[in-house]
Amino acid sequence: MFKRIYPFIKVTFLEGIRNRVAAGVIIFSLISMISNLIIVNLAAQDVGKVAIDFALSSFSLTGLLLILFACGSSLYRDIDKKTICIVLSKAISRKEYILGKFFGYFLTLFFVSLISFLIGILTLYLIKITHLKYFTAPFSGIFLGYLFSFIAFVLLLSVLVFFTSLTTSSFTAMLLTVVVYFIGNSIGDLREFAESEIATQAGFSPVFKIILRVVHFVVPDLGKFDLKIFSANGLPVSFDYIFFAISYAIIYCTILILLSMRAFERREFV
Amino acid sequence: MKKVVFWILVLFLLPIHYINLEKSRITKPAVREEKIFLPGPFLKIFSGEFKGILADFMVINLSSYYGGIIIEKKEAIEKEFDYMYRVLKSASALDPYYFDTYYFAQSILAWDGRMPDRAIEILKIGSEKRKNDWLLPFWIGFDYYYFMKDRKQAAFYFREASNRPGASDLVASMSIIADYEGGETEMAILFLEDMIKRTDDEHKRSKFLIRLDALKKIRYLEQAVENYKRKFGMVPKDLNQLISENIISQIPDDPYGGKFYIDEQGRVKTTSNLRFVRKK
Repeated sequence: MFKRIYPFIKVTFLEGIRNRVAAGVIIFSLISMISNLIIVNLAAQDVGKVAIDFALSSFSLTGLLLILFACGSSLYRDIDKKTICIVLSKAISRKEYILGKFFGYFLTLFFVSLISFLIGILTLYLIKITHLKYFTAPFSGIFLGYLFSFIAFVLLLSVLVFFTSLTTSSFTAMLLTVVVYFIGNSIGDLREFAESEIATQAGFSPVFKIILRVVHFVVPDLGKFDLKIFSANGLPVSFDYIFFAISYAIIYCTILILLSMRAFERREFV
Repeated sequence: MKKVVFWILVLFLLPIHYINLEKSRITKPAVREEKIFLPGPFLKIFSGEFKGILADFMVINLSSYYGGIIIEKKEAIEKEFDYMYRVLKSASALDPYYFDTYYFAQSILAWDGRMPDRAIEILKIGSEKRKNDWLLPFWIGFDYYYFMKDRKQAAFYFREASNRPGASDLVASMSIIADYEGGETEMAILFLEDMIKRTDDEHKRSKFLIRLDALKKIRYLEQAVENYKRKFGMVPKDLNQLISENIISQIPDDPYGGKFYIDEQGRVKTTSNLRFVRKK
């Protein structure tokens, strides 16, 4: 099967990196890194923390923009221009089409993220040299922060592929992905607040707490992949946490891709 | 030709507008107490994965806000300190590990705003999270000792600080000093000398140096009062008696523009209360 979808993955990847959005995203990460070199000088003491926060946050924003604008629009182009009919008339099934698209975008995401990561690390290294006394966070933690942000991108990509296979408009799929992004990043904090004593005293309904628990279970918990505060403050992350978080991401992605394949098989392109 | 005129006009108007924009920014009132401000837990929920950077920008923005007040009118008013307290509290909720939040809580709220209770409230959040940082319990201890006169709590936090990695012997000796009466000005001098060593900001350093100068002068006068008491068995009625009895040659000037005096309890004080005296 891999032999059959390999050329398709390659075409999707090449299409992704030739896309102007990808180039724009790289320029954006370059601009934010130059801004980082300037902004860190405004920090009073914790220069390293501000620099790492800025680098990782712009990396996250880069990934989000790429997923929404490059991957999101390109998936529908095949359907709108009917090129999907040509692809599917070849020896490739609908399931393989979804799988090929996902891995093609995964490679695009990896390529652009790698460039953004290299620009970010170079900037952080320059800041560390110039502010040695105020940059104490280890680079191992920073790498982990980047890795986990990338895993969150892949999760979000699988969410986008899932909604694309279900809906008939690119706007709806992008909108739903954005909603999942916001909920996924805040659901942990929202649940923590809802189950706190302050919320109980304020009269938060137990039904609301149950709804939050269900949402937390269904929506991907993207907050678990946000290690920016750990990386920026040089805090340790346990091996168990890394292992379970990565396993969670793999299982979640697999479920979504399988559901996408199933939904795409039943879809009509008239 | 028309195009050239158009571009000349645009290039000419742009700097004029920019300068006017800058002017209007500077004349904007500094007080922001009317601004809608989301409490920490809500900000935490809405900021998603950008909690850390939001905390950074809030604290950097606060630093420039306070700097603007100092340049404009030398001191902030209560409402402005209250606004700064809320900003710092929210920043500590967003990222409780961020050191600069506590640095400003101590230097702005405790020292300049005379709100040690509020500074302590924020510092305790940091001390709980930054377990390897001795400075935060040290600052809490200092605020209890110097501002709130609560020696029991001060000694507790000094001891807590001295047990953390990197704490100097000085911290341990401060916990001992705090257990006994007296030594307040000496404590403040030791503390400020440590703060001066730590800061690279020239503006802050110069502010600390002025305060250190004032405290050293108070300490000098306190020692002279002690000498007088030993010699005559009573507290002098005013500082001029120290000159007439040849204990000191002159009363030093308060760098804040106030006048040193002896209060009813026999303590050396200044009319400036360690703040710049506004000229009427």
